Formats: sequence, C-alpha cells, structure tokens
Amino acid sequence: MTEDKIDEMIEKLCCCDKSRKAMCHPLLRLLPWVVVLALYVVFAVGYIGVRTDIEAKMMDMHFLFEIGLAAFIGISAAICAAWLAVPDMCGHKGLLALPLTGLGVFAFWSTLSGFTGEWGWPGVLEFQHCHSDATLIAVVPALAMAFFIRKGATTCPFLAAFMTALAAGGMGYISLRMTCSMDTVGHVLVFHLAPFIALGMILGLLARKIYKW
Amino acid sequence: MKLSNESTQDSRWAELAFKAQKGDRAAYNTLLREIVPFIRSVLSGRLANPDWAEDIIQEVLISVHRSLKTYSHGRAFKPWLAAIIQFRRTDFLRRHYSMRGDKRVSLESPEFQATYVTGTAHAGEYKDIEAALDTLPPEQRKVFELFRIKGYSAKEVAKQTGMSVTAVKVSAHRAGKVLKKILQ
Repeated sequence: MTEDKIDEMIEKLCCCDKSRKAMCHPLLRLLPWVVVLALYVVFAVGYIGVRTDIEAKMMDMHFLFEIGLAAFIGISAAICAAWLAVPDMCGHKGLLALPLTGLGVFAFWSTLSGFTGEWGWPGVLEFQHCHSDATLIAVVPALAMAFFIRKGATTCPFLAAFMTALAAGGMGYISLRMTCSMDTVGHVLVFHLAPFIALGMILGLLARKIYKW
Repeated sequence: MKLSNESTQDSRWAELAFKAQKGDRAAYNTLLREIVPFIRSVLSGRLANPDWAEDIIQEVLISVHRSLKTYSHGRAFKPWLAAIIQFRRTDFLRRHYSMRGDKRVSLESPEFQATYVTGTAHAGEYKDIEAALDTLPPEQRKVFELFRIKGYSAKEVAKQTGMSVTAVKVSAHRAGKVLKKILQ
C-alpha cells in the first residue's frame, strides 16, 4: 500500500515536470547582489554624510584594521550565504569558518580596545541618529540577501539567517563608522552593533518561515 | 568493490539528474524510483518509529522535485540528496514532537478513566495492555513505557537506563513486536 502511494507520487511529479534551468554558480549569482549593495551603501553614506575627520581616520591603523575586518566578515558571510542556498553547500561547509573566525577576532579586538582605551558607555540609552542610519543602511541589503537565498533551497535556515545578518551587518558597520564620528567602544557596541544584532535575532526567529521551501 | 559500486551509482544518478533538468521525464522517473531505497536505507535506524519513514520519503521526493535546479552537474549527487534527507527528517521529527504535547492525556484524568479503565467499551483493552506489558522482562518494559508510552526521546531513555541509544531503539522495537503479537 505504501509502495503504491510512493509510485503514485512519482508518477504525479514526473507528469507535471518540465525542463528547468540549473542555477548558475553561487558566486556568479552573488555578484549582482554585491554590486547593487556597494552602490546602495555608497548612496546611503553620501546621503547621511561622511564624518568630518575621515581623512585623519584613514591614516589611523586601528580604524583601518576595524574597517578591513568588518569588510572581511561581511564579504565572507555573503559568500557563505550564497553557498547556503544549495542543500549541501556544494561541499564547501569549511567556508563557514571564515566569517565566524572574523567575528571572534572582532569580539576580541573590541574587548581589547575597551580595556586598553576608553569604554565610553553611553550614559543614557536613547534613540540616536545611528539607529535610523543603521536601519537605512542594513535593512535593504538584508532583505535582498534573504530574497537571494530563498531562490535556492537551503537546508540550514538558521545558519542562512545568521550569515544574512552578518553580511548586512558587516557592510552596515563600515558605513556607520564612515558616517559617525563617535569612536568609543561603548558607543560602537550599543549604537553601531546593536541594531544588527537585533536584525539577526529577528531573522533568526523568522528563519524557518523566510527560507521555507 | 563496494566503493566502486557506490561511485558508479552516484555517477548514474548525477547523469539522470542532469537529464531530468533538461526535461527528460523518463530519466526523472528512473531517478526518483532508484533513490527511494537509498532514502529508506538512510532513514532506517534513525527513527524511533520505522513507520515514519514512508512519510519522510514522500517529503524528500517532493523536496527533490522542488530543488533539482540547485543540483550542479559534475558534482556528487548523494551528498546533495543526503542533505535534503537529513533536513526533512529533522523537520518531520520537530513537527511530530511539537504536536505530542497536545495529544498527551493524564492517566489520572477522569475522562481517560471513564473511557478506558472503568468504561465498559474499552475497559478490557486497558487490562489486556497491562497484561501484555507484564509478559515483558522488567528492563524491556521500562524502556518501552518510557519511550513509547510516556514519549521520552531515545537519548533521554538511554540516559535514564544506562543503555546506548541504539540499544534503546532496538529494545523498544522488539517489545512492540511482542506486544503486537500478543494483542492481535
């Protein structure tokens, strides 16, 4: 009886089957997203306004290291998200180590900066321009990335959501550092990172629904 | 020899999948029929109830149908399929165990007692089940009660009884067969 059910299902699936174009290489699929994202971020930064001391900051080794690290996390997370759109990641599961290692280094760097410099925790938690800027910068790329992954068939929805948040967060963090002149670790953690952490949590809660197939 | 057969099988399925992507319905039909025993073999031994395998097989076949476009020709087919099988298995078990709470009935509830213990329609059945359980060795009965009646997972039962997870599943399955034979 059960074999009959399976046979019936196979007949139905073959009956309404048609030719389908295989998805192209994940990195090729990712390319348009990267280009559009870069243009969008440039536009967003231009709209918000670059910080006044940007020229001096571009000579600061610590600032450049942070920007470079955030770029590494964002780009590697985007690459992982592209591979996660395929059920078995085409055997590239090891790539996940890249953004996770970057994240670990970032956490260590931030902690070190806080202890050796100034934490500068904000006295009052209030809605600041950084929150609205972060929303402007990160939400559209995150939605675009989620849509991009949905076109595939991910078997790791939570991981896909996490990589989406990291990819959007990495680029968003760079943009906020370019536009906001507050450099204390406390301000950066609370007002530059917290919106992306919140974004990640929302995506994580909705992961199974967003990436359902 | 075994590895050579497996790689031949994988190459064959990869070729069938590629043809199916091009719209070859015969190749698609052959592919779906040939992967069913493989799916069944992957699921066997990994489910508390072997009857669930058929439901999961159907879900996997639908998933293969939906996601065939993500398969890249030239790559191994089995890892791609195995990822889908694992995903659907986890999905199924999550749904099953999340629904379990709604179906739980306390043995002390008046409604249960009236229907299955003191009620005339089913009173005999409850006593028959108790009598059947009494025929099992004490350890096997405990495993069966925890696993199949109270709904603990195999891992939880293994922890409580000091057995391995595999031993718990085998013991519960054998107890189920004995009870089925007695109660039929």
